[in-house]
Amino acid sequence: MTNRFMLGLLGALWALAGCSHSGGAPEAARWIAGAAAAHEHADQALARGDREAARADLSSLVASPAPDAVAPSDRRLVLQDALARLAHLELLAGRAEQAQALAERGLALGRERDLFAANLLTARGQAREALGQDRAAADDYHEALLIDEALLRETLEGSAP
Amino acid sequence: MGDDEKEPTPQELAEAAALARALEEGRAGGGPPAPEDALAAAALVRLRGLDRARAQVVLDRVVAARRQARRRRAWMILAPLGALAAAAVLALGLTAPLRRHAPAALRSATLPRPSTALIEAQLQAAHGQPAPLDAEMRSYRRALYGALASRYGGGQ
Repeated sequence: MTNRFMLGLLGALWALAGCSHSGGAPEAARWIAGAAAAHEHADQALARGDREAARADLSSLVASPAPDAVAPSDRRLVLQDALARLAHLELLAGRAEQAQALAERGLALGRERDLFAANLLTARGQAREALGQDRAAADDYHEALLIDEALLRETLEGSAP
Repeated sequence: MGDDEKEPTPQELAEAAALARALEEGRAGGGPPAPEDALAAAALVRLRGLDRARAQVVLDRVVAARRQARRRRAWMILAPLGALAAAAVLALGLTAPLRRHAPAALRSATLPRPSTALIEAQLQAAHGQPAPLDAEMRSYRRALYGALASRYGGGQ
């Protein structure tokens, strides 16, 4: 027990020592900037009606590995946001199964009760509805509504004087 | 060795063990810690079947056992705490350069909360009207990536 504890402690210290020399912050900043650019390009492509170009931009974002210096929670929300957008594009293209798969891939990254999870649940609900899975779709919509309700309460409480 | 100082019988030891357990359970029940004298008084009442001197022998064993157990518990708590404190000091030393060079925003940037308009748009999307959500998300995304860029020192 004590040995395991000491080994764990040494491991944590080794990791900390590694972090202090990794210099990973510039890579993280580049990855974040790349993600923002991918969304901007996708917006521009959608504005000119080019859904496939938008899909390609967001797909390359999802495929690019996040550097270790990006916090897991930040990586999750960046990827979940992109996957929800991709799922929506698949729905617009009438590819409900692909949309469902993308939404599930996003939800598998973590089920925080935040806006990104609500977007993914809504996308999956729409995909399931298109696939005739009405009950499962209703469950997704309901869960998304519960998250929205909680977010709304938090936002209103946060903005209260 | 007088009769009173004889080793306690197995029955007396069993009673002492039961008493020690009862005292421990009493403490675990959330009451304030009893002072040693109060424990002794309670024990003597419990041991009233014995004459006072014999009861004292049993009681001494209970108190000694409790002190030993407390010392053991204190060591078990203090050893990991000491190790953690040492680790914290080392960690602070090791990460000091990182913290010195990290941009202030990396330590303090917080992500924007979704606005009520955005949450309402999300609610509408869950009711089958996704259009307003796209527009609200575009706006939110700009704020989000601005905050993330600050957090990682990229600026935007």
